[in-house]
Amino acid sequence: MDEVPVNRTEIGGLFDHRPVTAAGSIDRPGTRGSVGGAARPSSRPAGATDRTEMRQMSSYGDRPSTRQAITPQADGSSRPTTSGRPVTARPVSAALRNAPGTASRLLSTASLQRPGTRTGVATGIGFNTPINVVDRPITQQGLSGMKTSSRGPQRQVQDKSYFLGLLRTKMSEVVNEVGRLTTEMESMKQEQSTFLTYDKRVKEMAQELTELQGTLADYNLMVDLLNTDTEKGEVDAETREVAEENKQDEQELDALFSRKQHLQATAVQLETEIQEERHMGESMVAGMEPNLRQRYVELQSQNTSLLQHLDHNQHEIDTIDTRVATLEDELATSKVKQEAVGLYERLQELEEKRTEIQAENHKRGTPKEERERLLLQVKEDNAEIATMDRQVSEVQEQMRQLTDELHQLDQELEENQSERSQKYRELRKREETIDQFLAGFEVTQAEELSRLDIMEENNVDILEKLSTHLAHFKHLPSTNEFDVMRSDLAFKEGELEKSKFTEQGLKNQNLNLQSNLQKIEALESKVQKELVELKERLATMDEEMVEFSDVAGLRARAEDRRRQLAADREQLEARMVAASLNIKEGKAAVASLKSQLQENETHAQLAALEKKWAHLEQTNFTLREVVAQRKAESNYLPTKVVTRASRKLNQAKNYKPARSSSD
Amino acid sequence: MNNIIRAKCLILGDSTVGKSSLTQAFVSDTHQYQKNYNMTQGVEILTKMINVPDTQSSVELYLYDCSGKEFYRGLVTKMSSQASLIVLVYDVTSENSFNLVTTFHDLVKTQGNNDGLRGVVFANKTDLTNRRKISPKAGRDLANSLGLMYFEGSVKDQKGIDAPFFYLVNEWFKLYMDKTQSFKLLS
Ligand SMILES: Nc1nc2c(ncn2[C@@H]2O[C@H](COP(=O)(O)OP(=O)(O)O)[C@@H](O)[C@H]2O)c(=O)[nH]1
Ligand SMILES: [Mg+2]
Repeated sequence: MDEVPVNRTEIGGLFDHRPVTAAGSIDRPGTRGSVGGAARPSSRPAGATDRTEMRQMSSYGDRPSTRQAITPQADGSSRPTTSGRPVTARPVSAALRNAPGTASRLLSTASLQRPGTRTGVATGIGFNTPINVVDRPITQQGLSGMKTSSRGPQRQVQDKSYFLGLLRTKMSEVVNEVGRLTTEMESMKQEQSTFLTYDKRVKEMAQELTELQGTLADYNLMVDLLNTDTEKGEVDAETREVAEENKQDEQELDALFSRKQHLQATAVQLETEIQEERHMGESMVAGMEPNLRQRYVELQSQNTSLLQHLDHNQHEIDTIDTRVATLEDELATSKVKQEAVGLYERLQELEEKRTEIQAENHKRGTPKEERERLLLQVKEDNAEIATMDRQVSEVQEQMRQLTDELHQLDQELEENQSERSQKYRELRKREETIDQFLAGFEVTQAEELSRLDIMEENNVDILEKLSTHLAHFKHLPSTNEFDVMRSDLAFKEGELEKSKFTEQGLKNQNLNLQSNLQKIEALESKVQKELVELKERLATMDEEMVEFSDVAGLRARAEDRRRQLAADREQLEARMVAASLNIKEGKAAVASLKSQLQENETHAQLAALEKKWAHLEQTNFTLREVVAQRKAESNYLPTKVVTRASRKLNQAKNYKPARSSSD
Repeated sequence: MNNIIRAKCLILGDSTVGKSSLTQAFVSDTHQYQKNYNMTQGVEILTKMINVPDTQSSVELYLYDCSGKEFYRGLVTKMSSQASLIVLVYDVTSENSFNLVTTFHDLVKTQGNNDGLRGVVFANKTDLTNRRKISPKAGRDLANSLGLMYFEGSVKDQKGIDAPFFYLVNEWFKLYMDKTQSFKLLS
């Protein structure tokens, strides 16, 4: 049971993959053919050459550089000695071995430099080569080329103690390095541990931050509410709504969660079932007889090979498909070619038909023979029909007998129903089949006859067609004519295209004109509105015209008014003089009254009292202010409300875990 | 057309709500504020010239800083005739001052001779948030019921001092322009 689905999945997987590979195969040739594909191979060799060049470069840079490095850098030390050696250095070097004074050595080298360089340049490789042989082992023992230059002088005192000292220094360096590394490691470990704690802290802080942000949002909301002066009732109602929504969401979530669990449980169950099935299949395979198992294995291998084969074939099909697609694409670019293809196809079809017909013709021979043959067949068929008729009569006879029997049986059945009922039923069945046959017989006969007729007709038709086709064969167009027709077609297609363009242009124009029409309509309505307004204004103007037509009267009236206003002004000016006089008098009176007031004792007393009052009011106000401030500070009511709310909240908070623990 | 339009502006309200503080802060360009309370005796008159933006005109305000004390009510009533503009001030920490706003408004109305009266309600001392008793909503409702504009602010914190006066100046200028326009049409 489980093998088949597994195979199916494999096949499915293969099928699933195949399109991908096919797509890949489509893509790949495309990219190869495309510019990118062309660029890639070129870039690859370029890279390769680059690399090889680099390698050569590096190889030049590595070893030969040490060799070369000796020549330029050794100018300071080695070359003089080498060049000096054949000339004078042997005694000098011997002397140096005895007395390794660096200063004297440098001096000696310095003194030997100039001739050395000269000779080095002049004699060149001839002198260098033997010394290079001496140098090489040193460079090859892991000492870098750069250091050879500085080692030049040291090489002359390469005795055991020197190397021992060198090794010791190196060892101490190594020890130091190891110590440094261990300390670094420890510090890193410490950092790791601290990092862990910091990480924890960061997480905690992040949580705190989110909490604080939440509270900030709450406060912002509250400030908003305060600013908008929302009543407590509204806020409460909103809270209640939100709480209800929350409850609903919770219930939904619970339901979803339970459903999810249920589904998970079923999934687990199904998985175990699948496992069991697989086990069963494996055990079955294991428990098979050896030859059966052999067969199973063979079949499996066959299956895999077939699958491979299938894959391969599919791949081929894909490639062919792609080729077909590309060719079709090519075809699609030119209509003439398409047309040609269509014509070729038709030609092929027709040729096939012709060959078929010819073959048939060959088989059947001449129409006369055919007719004789058909007549023969008809005769045969008639004979068959006669035999069938005879058979029918026989069968009917049999049927009559059987019905008689049936009657008898019925009678018998009545006698011993229980015993014969079985037989009776069988017989009934047989009767039914015979009835069916009888009922169907005439239909089949008619069908046969009609088929015969149709075949005859067909024959005649085909013969007629053949003759007509033979006649038409000559009327097929020649290649010349075909070319003419083709060019004609192309021209007409071009015309069609053009007419399509013109049609499109006309449509666009139509749209433009329609939009224009709409604009014009809008304009018209606006103009009409304006017209109405203008008419109204005209009417008012007409009315005014009556007034204004009397220009002389108007002017006279204006003149009258001007004169009156001038008179008014004169009058007013006169009055202003009088008024200013009055003001002066009034001012004098005020001054006298003021002086009187100043002299008045009651006024002085009153002023003093007022001052005192103001002072008292000031102290009164400051005291009241202080009291109010203190009152506000010591106002315990808001605090009480807040504490009560917080207590409630805390209770609610404590309540929840209690409930969960009780659960 | 560089003309000066004059307007009589009454500042009314209970005592110690900050009328004098408001007026003086507005008149002094630095918005100076005095913490100590100096009781106004009777009526104090101050003036300030304000340019109407985008025009050549300016409005000269005659600010009548009236005492809120019951004692000077008679004097204040006499002075409040023919007012063009009113500023009704109350203290947001005092319900009494809030209730007195309507009283002062009635006082000006009964004086008459003040058609085209424009005014504002100014809620002062909004800096005392913890002592605040009158919400902005209540103030706005009151102003609407009196057909006035609502403003609030704090002289102490120099908040919203100019806004009510600028509003009044603008209104007055508009009214003046309407009137002159109609006069011109009539002549
Ligand atoms: N906290 C606070 N105090 C103010 C404010 N405005 C005025 N005051 C104080 O209120 C007191 C009364 O001021 P005043 O203008 O003389 O009141 P008036 O009687 O209405 O003229 C003064 O001591 C001011 O310092 C304000 O906006 N906030
Ligand atoms: Mg005052």
